[in-house]
Amino acid sequence: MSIGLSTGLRALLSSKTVMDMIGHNLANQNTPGYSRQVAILQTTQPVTGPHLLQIGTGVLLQDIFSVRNESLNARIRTERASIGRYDTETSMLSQLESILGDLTDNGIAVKMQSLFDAADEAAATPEDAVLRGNVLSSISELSLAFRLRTSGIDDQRTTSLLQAQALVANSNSDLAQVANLNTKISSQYALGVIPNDLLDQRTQLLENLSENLGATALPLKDGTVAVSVAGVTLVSGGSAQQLQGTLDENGRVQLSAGKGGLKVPATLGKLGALVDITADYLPQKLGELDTMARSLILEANRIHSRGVPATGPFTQLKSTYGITSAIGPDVLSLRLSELGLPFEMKDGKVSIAISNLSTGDVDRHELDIDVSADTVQDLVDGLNAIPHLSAFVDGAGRLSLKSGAGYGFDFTRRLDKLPVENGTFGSSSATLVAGEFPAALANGDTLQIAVNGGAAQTVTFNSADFADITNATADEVAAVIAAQISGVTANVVDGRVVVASNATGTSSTLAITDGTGSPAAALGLPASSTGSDTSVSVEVTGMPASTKEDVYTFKPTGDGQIGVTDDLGIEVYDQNGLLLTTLEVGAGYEPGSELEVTEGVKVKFGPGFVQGSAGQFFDLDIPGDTDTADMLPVFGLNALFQGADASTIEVASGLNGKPSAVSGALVGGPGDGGNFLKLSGLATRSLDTLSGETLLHRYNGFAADVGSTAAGAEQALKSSTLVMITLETQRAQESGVNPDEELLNLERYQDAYESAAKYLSVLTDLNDVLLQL
Amino acid sequence: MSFRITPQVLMARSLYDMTNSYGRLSDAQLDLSTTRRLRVFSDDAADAARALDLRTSLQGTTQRRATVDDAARASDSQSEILEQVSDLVAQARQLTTSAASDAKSNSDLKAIATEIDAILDQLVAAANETVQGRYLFSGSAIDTKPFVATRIGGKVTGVSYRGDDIVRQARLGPNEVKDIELSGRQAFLSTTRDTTLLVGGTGLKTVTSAQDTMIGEAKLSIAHTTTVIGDGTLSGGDSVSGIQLGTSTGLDTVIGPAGNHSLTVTSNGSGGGTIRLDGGTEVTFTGGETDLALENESGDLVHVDLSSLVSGFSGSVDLTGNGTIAVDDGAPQTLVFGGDVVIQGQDGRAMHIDTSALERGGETFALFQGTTSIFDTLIGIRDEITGALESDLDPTERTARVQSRLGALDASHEGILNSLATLGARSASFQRVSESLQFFELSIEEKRGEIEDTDIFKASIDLAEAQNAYNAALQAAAKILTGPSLLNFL
Repeated sequence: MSIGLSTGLRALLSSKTVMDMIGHNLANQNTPGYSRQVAILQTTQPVTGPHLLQIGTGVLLQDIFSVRNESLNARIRTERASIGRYDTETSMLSQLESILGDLTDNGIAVKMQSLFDAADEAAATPEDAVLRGNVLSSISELSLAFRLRTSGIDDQRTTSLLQAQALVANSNSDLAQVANLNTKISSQYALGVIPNDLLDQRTQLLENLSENLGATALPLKDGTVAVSVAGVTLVSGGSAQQLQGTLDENGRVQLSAGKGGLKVPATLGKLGALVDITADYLPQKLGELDTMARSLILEANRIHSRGVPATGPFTQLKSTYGITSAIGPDVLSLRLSELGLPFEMKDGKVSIAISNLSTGDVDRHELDIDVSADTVQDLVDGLNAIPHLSAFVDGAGRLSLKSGAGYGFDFTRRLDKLPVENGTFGSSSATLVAGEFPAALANGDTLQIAVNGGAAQTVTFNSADFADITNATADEVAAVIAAQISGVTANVVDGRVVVASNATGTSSTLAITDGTGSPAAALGLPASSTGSDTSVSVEVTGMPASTKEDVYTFKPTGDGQIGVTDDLGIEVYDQNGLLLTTLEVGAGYEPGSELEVTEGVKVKFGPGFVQGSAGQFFDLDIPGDTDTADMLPVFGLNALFQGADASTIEVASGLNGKPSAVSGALVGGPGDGGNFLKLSGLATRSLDTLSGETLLHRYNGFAADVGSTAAGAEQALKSSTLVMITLETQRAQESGVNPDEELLNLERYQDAYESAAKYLSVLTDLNDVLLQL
Repeated sequence: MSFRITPQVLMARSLYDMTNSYGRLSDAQLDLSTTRRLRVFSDDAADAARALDLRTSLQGTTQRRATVDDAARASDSQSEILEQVSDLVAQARQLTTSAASDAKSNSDLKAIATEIDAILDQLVAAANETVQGRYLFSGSAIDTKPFVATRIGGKVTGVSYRGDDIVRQARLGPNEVKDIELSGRQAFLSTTRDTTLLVGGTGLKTVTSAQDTMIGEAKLSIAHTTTVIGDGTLSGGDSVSGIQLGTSTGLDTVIGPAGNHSLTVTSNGSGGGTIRLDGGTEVTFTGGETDLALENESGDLVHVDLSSLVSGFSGSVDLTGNGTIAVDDGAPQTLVFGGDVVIQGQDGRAMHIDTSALERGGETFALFQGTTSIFDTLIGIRDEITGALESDLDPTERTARVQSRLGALDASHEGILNSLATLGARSASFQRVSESLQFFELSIEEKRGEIEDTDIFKASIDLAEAQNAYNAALQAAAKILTGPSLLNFL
């Protein structure tokens, strides 16, 4: 009887407990991370009755456990880490895309094209102040577009850093909670109890940590889990390391754990994405924007500085960039390679055209630049040595250039309009040109010169007048002739000695008789020359198509009259002495009409007489690139842009509000828009600074990279989400509470409880019957 | 896999499906409402890159077309002016032709000169035409009045060019730049030398095979210096016939190489006879004359000394008339006889003359056709007419001189017509470029649209589909949430 009572009681208690468990399941059916609990019932030990019969003793609730698939949980954590990363990446990149706004009318590419279009339009009507103003405003808008992008990205970085800090704080709290749960769970484990609900709570925290930090968890036998990020253990048993986020010198978030400051390289989870994008991707994109902005500044300034405004040559210029020296105010002693300016100078040449503003006569002067040897002082001295030009560096480190009264300067490739100097060609005075230098003379050499039919005058060459008479220079020979012969001038022009009678007209004559030592032959001095009533005017126009630097030497093929003498030609040689062309200026040539020397270079010869036999000639400098040293863009002389990168790019301060100051002209004149055309040509020019790409293509590639990275992250997020859904579904299938199932079980256990109660009631009745016996 | 379906499974699935459907619905709706399929690069980075490329090239092409259209308009503006100029020149030609008629009275000529003067004024005004405040023909110096007339007594005596030779250019393509307009020099001052015209009765001829370098017009003054009779060995006289230079030989006017003039002597057998110069009147001589003046049919004069005439000499003796030639009252240059003789003008310029048929001294007027601007040509014509009035030339000479200007006027007109043709060709080429740019623009726009814009039909269908899918997802979710559970039946 007592067995039966015990059996009934156990049945009652078991059913009641299981019904409690079902209630717990039902109550937590929507609790995140909750795993349904299942009761394990087992028959109790039977007793041996009469005749060795085994009599059952009922049921025992042996265990209640959570249905939990730890390997599934581990996979879910892994996927959570990916989702965390891709989700953050997607949101940050989409934010970046909205900052760039490339497919809108405010994108950098559109603004860039607008600048080239404005230049194109101004090229056709350069005198239109509105169109010139449009060029400036489009530069301003483009600069602003660059600056807005960089400040937008900077803001995004700042916000991301705040997000990272919040994530670290959250994660520290989660880590501490996991450690705390570890302690509780292990103590339960020690008692042989499985704390299902604590386990569920911990699972939930671990998933948070995976999503935020990409943390992994390793379950241990004592019921605890070891939590680590990128191999660094953050939770072990009941202790947790606190994470600390600091910014390193590159602005990169560095995570470290605990007091030892062990570095934690976060690569997964939300934090991984935040760190990577803020520290790598955004700076990389900023760098690319900087590269483009720098290329634009440099190339546009290179073009602009080689042009002039409508008014023609400059009378003064001040550099946009100032040299700021670490060694104090003595910037003049700085080498040109260590100026500390946004761009760097290189070895090369600077060619400066000094124009006589009233005649248009141009003299070119070149400065050789060796950046590692020359100092700022050397540069200033070199500039000051150029006639009619003065240069100085002001207190702000800015280079200033100024021309003398009546002169202007520029860095255009303008040709010398009037290249004949000192009557070396077609002069109305009798002129003889000696071109063999250095000449091998000897002490006591003599020659005689009869001027204008007068008595012969003797020139004696004495060693005392020469540094080395066997290597007599043009200057020395000219000085000797000028000193000893009256009625003539003796000048040095382009390395030759030009002896000219002071008289003009047909009665102006020079006749040479070679004397002792035949110095005339050694000097290449011709025998005679006669002047004429008129001198031949020579005018050069155009702009050489080739950028090859050269010096053209023009020499008559013989003696004769322009436009009259049969077969009279002017031979043109390059600086290597190669014959480029022979210009037909004899019979059939219309004096004053243009003849093309080389592509773009035209020359006009006026009427008159030329004498090839007298050694007549003239040189024409053909400027190449006028600034191979990049002096102009480096100092920002006559710059279009100022600034050093995408965050500082701006219209050059000297041009602000001054459309007329924009150098849209190649040589000058209100209708000269040649330099605007060069600026608009930048749109399709492959740039060395962009590895041969054009600015627009480079930008397009940049935008496409952001777009495809964002699209990649979004795609990855979608796939991870899909995997996650599958895993979650799987977990819900295994561990989720099904209320129908629970209700059925409830019914079952209610029945069991009722039947056990009935059984006890029957036993009680039986007991009553026995007691009544 | 276990097949336990829990409400969480259903809920999660429903939520996922609803989110997905809603996302698609939102995309389809944005496609339609913005009419753009690509809104950010991540929508389709490759297509977006192409779209951006097309967008900027469309922008550039539109701008280029505007520039080219402006260029066409600018060259058309110049054409319009040059057409007016051409009409004015045609009027001037008509007036000149009419002035060259013998029948014109002095008052007619005066009226014509005044009319030409008025045309000249109109020409200068046309050349200084402005459009929107810029001078059309001053090259790049668009704020400088290009042609400035010098006036004496209100009449234009010269027109100088103050503009420059830089012409505006337009970019037609990445590497193609074309001049838009003509500078004033190109339009009005360009000259193409034509043959030189000589007007005068000295027998001087032009050399058509050689090109002169003198420009405008020149007065050639030929003067007699010495006469040489026959071989000239007898102090300038002829040793064969014995005819010597007369004492007044300094007054001789015959000029020309040997053979252009000759003396024909017919002896009467008694020391006398007749003598004549060229085809002139025969003069009877007795043989003792020392200064006999002989004149030919053209009035050329030679003085001979017949005192040493070889008795009984009959026959012909050639004369050589030496002289000088001066250009525009400059220093006289010794005359050389030949088929191509170069004489020097001022400023180192020269001209070729054929002196082989020269017969006498006097003035010859040389007109270097096609070397003067239209202004100078008209000034020359006006002055010619006015000068003719003042100098009271005989009508034939006057007609010849005025007529001689027609060639120069035609050459100048030719220059204007050439400029018009150049501008016309440019304008046509600008228009062609503009048209092709327009087609290009359309094609870029079409391509950009294909890539970037929403295909409205497809997007509408997508929207409807997305809506259906979303509705279905919502309905399914609603069914799950409100569906029966065991609880309803317990």
